[in-house]
Amino acid sequence: MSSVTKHRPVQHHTRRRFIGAVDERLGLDALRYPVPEHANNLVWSLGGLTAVSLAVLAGTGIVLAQFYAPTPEVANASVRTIVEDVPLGQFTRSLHFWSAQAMYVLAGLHLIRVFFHGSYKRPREANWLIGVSMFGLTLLALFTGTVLKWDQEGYEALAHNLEVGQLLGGVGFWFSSSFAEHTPILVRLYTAHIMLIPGLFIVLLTVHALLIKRHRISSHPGLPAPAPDTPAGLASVERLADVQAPVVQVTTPPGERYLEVQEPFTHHLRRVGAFGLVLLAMLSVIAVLFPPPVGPTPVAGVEVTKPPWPFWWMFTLENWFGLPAILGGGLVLFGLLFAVPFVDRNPKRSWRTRPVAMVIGLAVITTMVVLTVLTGLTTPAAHL
Amino acid sequence: MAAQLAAAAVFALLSLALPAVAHAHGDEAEIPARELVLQAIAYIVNTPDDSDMISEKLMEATESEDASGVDLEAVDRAMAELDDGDLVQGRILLEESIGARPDLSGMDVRHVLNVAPGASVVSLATGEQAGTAIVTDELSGRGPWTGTDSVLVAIAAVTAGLGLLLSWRFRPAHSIHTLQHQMVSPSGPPGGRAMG
Repeated sequence: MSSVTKHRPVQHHTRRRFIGAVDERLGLDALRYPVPEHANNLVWSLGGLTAVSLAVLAGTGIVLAQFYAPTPEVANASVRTIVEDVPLGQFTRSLHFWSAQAMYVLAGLHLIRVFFHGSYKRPREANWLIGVSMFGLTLLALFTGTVLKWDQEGYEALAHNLEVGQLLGGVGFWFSSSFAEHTPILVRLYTAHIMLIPGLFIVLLTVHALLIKRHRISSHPGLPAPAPDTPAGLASVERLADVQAPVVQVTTPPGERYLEVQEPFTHHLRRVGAFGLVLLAMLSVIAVLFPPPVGPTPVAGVEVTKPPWPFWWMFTLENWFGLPAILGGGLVLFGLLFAVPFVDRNPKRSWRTRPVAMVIGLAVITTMVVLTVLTGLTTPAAHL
Repeated sequence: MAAQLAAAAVFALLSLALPAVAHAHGDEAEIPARELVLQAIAYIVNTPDDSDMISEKLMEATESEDASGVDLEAVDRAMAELDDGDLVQGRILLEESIGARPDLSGMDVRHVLNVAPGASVVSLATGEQAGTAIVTDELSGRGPWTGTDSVLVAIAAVTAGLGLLLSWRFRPAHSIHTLQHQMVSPSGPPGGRAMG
């Protein structure tokens, strides 16, 4: 017993020395920058959980890429081989599929959280734009992933995409099969799915994280501050000598001050990691219980399927207004999202004091939900 | 209603301003019969109840100007089988008619890769071509429960337990409600007072 008590400080000392040596070379201590304590709540961890989903997608995607053959003649067959012949292939593919759904949902919820808390306001406008761009990339990854399985659903999604590419005229040249007519467009979409989109995502995610460090995680608009609402910009953060350690006094550009309980960002990371384990477990169970099917090999000139559910709202618009509505709907949604920080100049952040923004936000969300449900209730119609 | 009309106007303007959408449906007689037979098989596989579309595609196939590579007699026999409601035999005949099911000796064609005879002479797909030689059935997702499934669910349960334990252990010391209460309280920690 006594040997244990004697030994512990030595172990502790060795561990600290090791961490110190690593930190000296890698600068990991930079991750210990202060963030508000409320950032460790689940709702404020949705961005981190989106990143966890991305990590699962990357891991499973690397495995799938070893067995997938991205040529039209054999792509569908190779997916069937993954499911039927590769050890844990069915599970890996299913986990990849469900992680993609989770990433879309979590990214959407994260955007909604940021919108309703006004966290996109000065000086975080650029990070909002980057976040919206990453949401768009998530949709693109979902789309290209759908096409890769090269079944009837995926092929019809591609056919719609090619038509939308034509609508774009010269801008849509990449989505034209004539751009590289001797190369199957499936191969080009595969490169986009495993290289272009993830590459862009990593770049944007890095900038996103750096900007979070630069501007800090925004304060909670529901916590008391001297102004009716807490402005997003922080001019200085000063630790109070006479109060408990994690409490700091934050001074905003207009000179307003309030108190905030803070923790190092590493605490946020470890909580996100804990939530991430739960997320991974949930996705694994869903992957086992509900593996996605592999559809029939595709045939051109046939329209019998619906797109994946994240695109259903566009499908309803297409049913009503024709193919250009897919393009129009997408442009309107992302136009609105990109415009948010430029249109909403109200410095207040609490939802109670932003009725116009709240009404517009709720109207957009409701419209998308209703359009999605409508497609869920209809049978596929031919559009092309 | 007004919003819907406005949206319709926007989309109408958009469609006028942008190049016209290319339609997949052209003059049906110019579409090769082989393609039309494949489309009919696709309808049998995907929407077997849509007999009108199946019949329409087969009629177009028989009227196509380009019947190369298609045994139209087999198509006729398939149409008769389909009229009698035998989708299985009708599909087999249609696959035979385009040489997609050459082996009738008992080997069931499951994968595209298994269409060996003749496949080597088929040119590889380029651009947006589907490259489909035979329409396969859907491979359903969920099969019988296996021991691997049980192990995976057990690992997931342990992972979930660990995650819940750690997320509880790493939970914030103060809830938003507590912070709201204590920040404005003149005496209590953590803030102890509001500044201003």
